[in-house]
Amino acid sequence: MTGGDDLTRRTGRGHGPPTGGATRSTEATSGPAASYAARRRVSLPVGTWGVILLVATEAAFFGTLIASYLYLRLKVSQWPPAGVEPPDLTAPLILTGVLVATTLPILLAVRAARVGRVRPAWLLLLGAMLVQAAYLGVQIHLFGSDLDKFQPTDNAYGSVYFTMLFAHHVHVLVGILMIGWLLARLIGGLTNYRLVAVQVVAIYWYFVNAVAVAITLTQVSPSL
Amino acid sequence: MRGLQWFGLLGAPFAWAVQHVLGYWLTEVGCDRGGVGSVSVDTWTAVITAVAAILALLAELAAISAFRATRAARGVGGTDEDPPQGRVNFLATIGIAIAPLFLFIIVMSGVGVLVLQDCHQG
Amino acid sequence: MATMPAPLARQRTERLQRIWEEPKGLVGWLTTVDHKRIGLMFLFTSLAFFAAGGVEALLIRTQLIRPDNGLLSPGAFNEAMTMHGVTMIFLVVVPMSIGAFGNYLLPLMIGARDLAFPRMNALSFWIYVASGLFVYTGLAIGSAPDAGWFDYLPLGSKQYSPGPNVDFYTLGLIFNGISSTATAVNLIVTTFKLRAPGMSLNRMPLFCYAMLATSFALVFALPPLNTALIFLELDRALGFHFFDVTKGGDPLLWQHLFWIFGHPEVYIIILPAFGIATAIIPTFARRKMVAFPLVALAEILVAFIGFGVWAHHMFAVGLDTITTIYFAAASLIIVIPSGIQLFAWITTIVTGRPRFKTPLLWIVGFIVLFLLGGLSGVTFAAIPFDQQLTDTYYVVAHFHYVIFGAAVFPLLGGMFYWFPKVTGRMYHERAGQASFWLSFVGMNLTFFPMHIVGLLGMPRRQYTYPHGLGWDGYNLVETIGSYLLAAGLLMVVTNLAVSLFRGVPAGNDPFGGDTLEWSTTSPPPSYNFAVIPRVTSPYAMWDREDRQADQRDLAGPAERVLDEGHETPASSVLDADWDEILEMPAKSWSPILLAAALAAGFTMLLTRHYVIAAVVALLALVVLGGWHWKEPQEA
Repeated sequence: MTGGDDLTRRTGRGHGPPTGGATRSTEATSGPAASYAARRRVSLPVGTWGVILLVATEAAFFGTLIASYLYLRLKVSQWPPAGVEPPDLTAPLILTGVLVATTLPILLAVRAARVGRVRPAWLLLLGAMLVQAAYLGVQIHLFGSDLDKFQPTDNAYGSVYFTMLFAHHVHVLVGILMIGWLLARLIGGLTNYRLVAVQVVAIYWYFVNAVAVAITLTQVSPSL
Repeated sequence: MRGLQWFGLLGAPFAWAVQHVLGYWLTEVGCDRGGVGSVSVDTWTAVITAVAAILALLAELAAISAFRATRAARGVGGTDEDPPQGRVNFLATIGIAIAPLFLFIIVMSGVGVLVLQDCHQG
Repeated sequence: MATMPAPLARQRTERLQRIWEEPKGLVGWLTTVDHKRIGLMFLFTSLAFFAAGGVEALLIRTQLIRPDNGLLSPGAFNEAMTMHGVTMIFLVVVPMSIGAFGNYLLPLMIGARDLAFPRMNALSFWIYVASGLFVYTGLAIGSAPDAGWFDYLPLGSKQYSPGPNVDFYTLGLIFNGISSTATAVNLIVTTFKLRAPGMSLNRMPLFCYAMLATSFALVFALPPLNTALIFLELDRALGFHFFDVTKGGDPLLWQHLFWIFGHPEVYIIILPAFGIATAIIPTFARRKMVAFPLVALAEILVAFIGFGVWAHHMFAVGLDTITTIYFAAASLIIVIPSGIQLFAWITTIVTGRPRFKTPLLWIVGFIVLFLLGGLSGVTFAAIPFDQQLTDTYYVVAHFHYVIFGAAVFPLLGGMFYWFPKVTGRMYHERAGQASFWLSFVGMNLTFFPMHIVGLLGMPRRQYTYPHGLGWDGYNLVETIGSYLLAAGLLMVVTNLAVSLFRGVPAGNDPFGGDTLEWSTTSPPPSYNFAVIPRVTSPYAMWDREDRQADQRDLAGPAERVLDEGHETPASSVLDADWDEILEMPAKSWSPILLAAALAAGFTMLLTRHYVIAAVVALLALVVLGGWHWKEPQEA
């Protein structure tokens, strides 16, 4: 009915939009089918756009937190205030490095899932999740020991320091739960839906890892 | 072509946003301390304003370029063309219109800060 | 005018109806994911809150009718004033604009069958209702928020606001913000991905540009507000010191964060109204919008530059002079995109063949009032002038002209314009025109004298004023005006309510509209379009050939009928090249359950039961996990 296969004039006036061949990607319920559906797309799927926008709001949130930290810092001459030690450099930087390193297995998991290889993707995600859980455990311990030294109720430095870190740790926890959900779902194999889910969780984690760098640098900035 | 279209659309707003945020922070940080690093607020402001203004001008040129490349063919009208021609022409039109506006804000802000020297009101 | 559908066409529409139909009755409404039903729920809820906010306004105006009046105590006045602002902004105008108009119309205008995330849409609504009830519970127990809608520190701190009033404010607004954010994300993804194949960006209606700009503004403006509210609640409940100057904090941090949200918020309030105006004008002027690309750009530009002007609300707090320059410059230039739109609208009407029916009357009124409000607004960009008029009634005059005149008037015009589409019946034209004039006169009578009395020095947010300052006469006129305005609004509601039952049947396209919602029945069927429309211009309804081609498709080749399931097309962002066919979710209990869980969580935060709140939060995450468990093809 139309010249719909002409890729250079896909939406020509008078020809109407292209029709034939648009995939019902939800029908892809196996690894190879899901992979095929993903390769056929010319545009990011709806779910991916959703997580991109979620990341945008959370980025604005963390940006505001960090800007507030810097704003409060500029208002006083001594930061941290008297009686508070400057923050430790080594532990936060090493921990952040470990967390950021989990970007690699996640990236590889996405690659594997994209070509329909569920098993490697699953193992890579599991590995990443275990490292992230260990990271969170250590961070919670450090959070507690910081609280022994100074409190958020002491001064504005404490308030913004602990709030910033807490917000970051909550995002890490949610990310771990998301991978957990994904692992449970992927046991049943790959479908178009789960493949998009892998992409979505991956984007969320790239964001969390980037935030980890920003937050850590801010957190240790008095000692740099 | 694609790069021109996007730079023409987004270059000027980006330039203004950077000048605005950096300039504002400069005044907050440097006003009382007579500058940041060993450079005065005025010098920083002049440099940032100049860079931003040049970026905005370049964006205007890029937008004009994209517009001309997709101008009305067969008398149909640039933005009424089928995509991607029509869409590129549409975005280029927008870029041509907004770059001068942002240039205006950039220059007004920079000049204002350089002319007025007051760190504190009253 | 429409030809009789062939038997094949009828089979298809019947199949689509069976696929998309939702259950009737209460269960149907509680589990609905249909954007049209959700849009209507948003509309009725926001109208109810409009009535509440209106009563609060009349209380304020009645208290101020004469000097030294004793109708409201100072505390009660503070609650009325705060609740009026919070209600009108967060519970009326924004939900009505994006939740009612945006929700209902966007899919129809872009040729889609629903929003991108139908269940999240329902969640937005239920959270909105819950957050509104949350805030009003404060009023019900005699502890309504009372520190102004902007809640400046240190007034809003625990020390000066010891009761739970401000906690209802902080937690209620964080809760409400989830709804707006979700709707914004939904509208953006829908606009990007669900446009009918062929509707490239240069063929997208201007209303959609307005909704896109509004949604992006919400996505970036709400996080700073949420940060400020979280900081405030931590200060109040747990004794943190973000805003406590004795411990290294800064009350100005609140103002910066609030206004980084607050200024974009006012553009969020007005942009959808611009979108409604640009939908109504071409129809009633019977010509295409002048300078279409410039109007589209102006809508986005206002939202973008709006993020750089926030400190013009702080010109009188002691910021460095050179700091204020950046904000003054941007505040002056932001007038230009608004001006571009004004010129385009006026030129379109003047060079068209206008029919001044009720919807266009409201828009003409809007243009006049927006002009006045914009002029008083730009005077504030001049810093010395601003410093004299801060906190006077001149400010109150300005923002009511732009909020009521420029945001609410188009909303009312839009209610008349789309009433026939939504209900299938026409409103009463004469009564509609009369209600416009009554409201227009009432509005000006209420708010114009405020310019003068503000210039004469009357401060805002004060529960009374003494006799002998020359303000009495103006206040009396303003109060009379407010009652006239209320009468006008009552007339609007009565007209629409009666017409709902007694109005003349309207047909698909009573006005000769230019956008796709007019191509379907009134009211639209549950599946919106039997054939996904072909689009070759932003005025799709005026492209006769395309609409006839759609009709032929319905009786012929079936590719764009998409009746194999709950289907709608997904296309590419820039040029709307057809990418895939999406399977949309059907009715679900998850949204209302999740909203209830969140309501419980926020209540636990309010009552300081933090452990239970954390448990509830985990429960909410479980509900979320379950929500996403079932896949589209399993439904």
